[in-house]
Amino acid sequence: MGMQAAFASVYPIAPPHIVGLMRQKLLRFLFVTHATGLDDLLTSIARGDSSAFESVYDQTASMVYGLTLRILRSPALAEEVTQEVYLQIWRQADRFDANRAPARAWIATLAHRRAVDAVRRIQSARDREQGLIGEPAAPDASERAIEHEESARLTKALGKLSDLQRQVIELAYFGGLTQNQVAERLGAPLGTVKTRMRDGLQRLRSVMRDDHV
Amino acid sequence: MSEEHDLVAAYALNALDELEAHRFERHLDECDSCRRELAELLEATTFLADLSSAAAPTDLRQRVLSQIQAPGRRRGLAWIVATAAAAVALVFGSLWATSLARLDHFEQVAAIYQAADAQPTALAGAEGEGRFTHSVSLGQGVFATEDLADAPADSVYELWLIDDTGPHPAGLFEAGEAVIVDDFSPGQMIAVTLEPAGGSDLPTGPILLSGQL
Ligand SMILES: [Zn+2]
Repeated sequence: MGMQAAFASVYPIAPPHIVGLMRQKLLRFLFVTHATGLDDLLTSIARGDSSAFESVYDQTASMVYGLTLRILRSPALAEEVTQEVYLQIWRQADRFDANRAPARAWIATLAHRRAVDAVRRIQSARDREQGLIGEPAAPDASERAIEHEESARLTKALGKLSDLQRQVIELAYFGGLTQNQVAERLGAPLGTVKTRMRDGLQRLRSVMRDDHV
Repeated sequence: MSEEHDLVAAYALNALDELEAHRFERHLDECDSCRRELAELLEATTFLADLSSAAAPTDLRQRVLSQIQAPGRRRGLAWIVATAAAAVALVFGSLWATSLARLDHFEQVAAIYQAADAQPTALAGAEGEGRFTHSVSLGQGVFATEDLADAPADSVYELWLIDDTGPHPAGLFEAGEAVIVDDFSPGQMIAVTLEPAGGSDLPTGPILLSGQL
């Protein structure tokens, strides 16, 4: 019932064949149809509509929080970054351009940029201190818990990639490394890294469209 | 041109450094095929974001909603990150000749450095280094920098002490000058930003140097 109610608020005139779909299929539907509901909500936010903002939060918070948590590996930092992301959505909704990417992609990109920006700053501060504090601390309990909770669907989707495709995408997208850092880390030529990023993402896209991950 | 096309996947993964990303964005404005491919690759990265979903803490929703009602009252991301990356105190070594050469209050500073309970705190950042040496018994500390470039015209460096209640201005300075601080407490963050001439009541620029008392 909860899913249908949420769905009805996105699509006031819900196509009957959609109502009752499972969550995963709904997500797939949102991708494939470019989530017109969220697009419209962002347009309303740009006009200062705070109830549209609440709806956007409810539909995207688990994605934004989950992604930032996976990248930052700290619930406290993930919460802070999530707050920043929504403040940015509220202030910059007028910059959203549905012709370039659907709303869900725009929000995922904002969240990813914020989280990676934070990771890079922390990393560069750590690099400066490395000589003073020695080895980095062992991962704490919350970090290990996140690893254990790694979603089976994500593992399955990444499992459809070659080893190198998976590594370059994981290091860049979840590790926050630049393409140069990825090449250095893997000891692979930059050209190869670029190619694997590209064909790896295209492969993921076809996995997403064709398979029931 | 073909070199530019090659950056599309790394851009979708946010794996370019600032310069490369800027270059690619200019290319994107004039290249239909990259815009088309970027939209495709963003479907894949958004898929990864969605597969990372995790339930956000329930109280986060209220915090996000209240910040759009009272904007500007939150600490920025940079402050949080600086806290996470708080610098480790260096063991007090030598005086910083470059700063001390331009000191007006040499005796006062010398007393702080020579106090039996003088405690040094290192400030790290991409733009240079800083050191805050304070004595609890004297209730005074001195802040000095090294390698900091001259502030651009119409702007000034500002020192901040940050705690649970937010950032507090602790003095304005030019590159190479020292600042004497007489209101601080253990556990506070100390940080430097670049501010408009005359300084600010709350930081407006990014953190250049930071450390923890
Ligand atoms: Zn192109």
